Amino acid sequence: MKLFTSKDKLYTAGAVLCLLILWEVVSRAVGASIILPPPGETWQELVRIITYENFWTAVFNTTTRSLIGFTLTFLTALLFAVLAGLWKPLYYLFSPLVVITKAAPPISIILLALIWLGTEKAPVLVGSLVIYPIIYTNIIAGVDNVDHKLIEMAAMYRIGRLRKLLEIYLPSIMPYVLAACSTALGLNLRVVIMTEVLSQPPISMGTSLQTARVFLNTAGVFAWTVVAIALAALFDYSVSTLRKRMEVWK
Amino acid sequence: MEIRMDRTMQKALQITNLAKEFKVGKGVKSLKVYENFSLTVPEKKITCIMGPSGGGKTTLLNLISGLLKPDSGEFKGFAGKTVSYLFQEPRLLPWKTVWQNIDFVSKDIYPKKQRAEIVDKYLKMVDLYDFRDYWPEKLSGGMKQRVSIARAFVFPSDLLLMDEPFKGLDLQLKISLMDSFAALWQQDLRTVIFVTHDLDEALYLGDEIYVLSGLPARVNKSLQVKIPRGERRYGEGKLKELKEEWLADYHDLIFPPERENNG
Repeated sequence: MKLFTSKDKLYTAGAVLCLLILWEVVSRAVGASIILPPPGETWQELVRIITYENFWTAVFNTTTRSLIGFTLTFLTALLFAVLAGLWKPLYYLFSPLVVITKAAPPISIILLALIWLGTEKAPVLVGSLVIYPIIYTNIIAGVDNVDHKLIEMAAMYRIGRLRKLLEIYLPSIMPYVLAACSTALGLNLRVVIMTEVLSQPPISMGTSLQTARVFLNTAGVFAWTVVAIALAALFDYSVSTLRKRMEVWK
Repeated sequence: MEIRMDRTMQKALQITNLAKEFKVGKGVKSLKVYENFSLTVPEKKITCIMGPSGGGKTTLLNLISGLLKPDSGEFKGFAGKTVSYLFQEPRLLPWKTVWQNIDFVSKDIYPKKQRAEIVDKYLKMVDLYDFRDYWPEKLSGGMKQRVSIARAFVFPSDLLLMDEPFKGLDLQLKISLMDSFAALWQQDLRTVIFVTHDLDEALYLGDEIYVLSGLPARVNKSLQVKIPRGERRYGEGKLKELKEEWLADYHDLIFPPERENNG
């Protein structure tokens, strides 16, 4: 089944157009581009920063930070969640940790990460801690929802533990894993950029945002935001493509 | 000299003094599903277990397969026997194709080349060879159940347990599935225990029919179908005569009047 029809696309384009018009109107009413730059000026600024020599380095550094953090967190959460899902004592051992990371304000985590780690590594840790509980709890839910009738069938046909894990548990939790990935990947990027704003690593998207703010270049803040949104959309697109590939049987 | 095979001489599996009870609620007496229950299952025959729903039929299969542990009792001849199970639902893995679903149970048993031959052979026998690369989701209910029948036979089991696998299918489909099953079985005789609540199904496939009733369950009646399989027609002819004869004699044993369950 197609998720979006061409009619849906048309409506989305219309909505974006409305938003742009509203933006233009409000910015003219405000009349000060330092508070709300009009779309045209933001576009010019966007073109300027893209041609700026450090642009791709900044995007690359932030993307790398984001992806490294995501990958490490994902693998850890997958391992722990599967183990905890299969063996209850481990589940209870992990649960206070999950509650703490879920409830702690991100800013506390940012401050602690800055104290513990340098400016370049802090954003990775903060992103990881924010997305870990999301991935972990999603996978736990997936393990809980494995169809016990299939497990019973496999037991009847004397299928070994490892094969049960690889051929029943993993494919059953896959939809949960992918749903968690699509939420976590975008969130992680946003948190990494936020931490970069505060930690100021040499060349990064967060640092560029902060620099634009310091020079009262509001159009620059807007332009970098557009870049961040585009990057998040790219991440989202990759996950949904992967999802379609992996769930061909649906 | 003519040797007469007496029924008692036939090789058989024996269940003796089986007991099993379940906790059914808080502060309620446990429900005794089986107590002092004994049953003989002839080998390489199809034994049907009939009885009302909630009468412990599925429990019996689960006890035999080892999914449930009995409170007490002896299973003679069952030790070391491998089991295939046909469930009410096909229980196929949705992320594996028809072919892979059947191969799933043979992977650890046969070498790769032989596996492919065996899976192909059984797929052809249930008429699904052209659908081997389909996802189960794309098949009809009857086709899915045929895949699960093929899977049960690909697995080299001594014992085949069937828990109403033809329930809820329309008549034509039911007969065609039972024919697929019977064809496979005749090439590869296994000891079959077939749970059903449908007398026509039992007559069509069975050699021996046990009618259970009451809780704790006991064997209320034991009947034998001696008509050769080739001469059986579902719900018609000789089977119909036999059914009418039995119902005239033992209607209340086969279909006991509903009891009020007031404790």
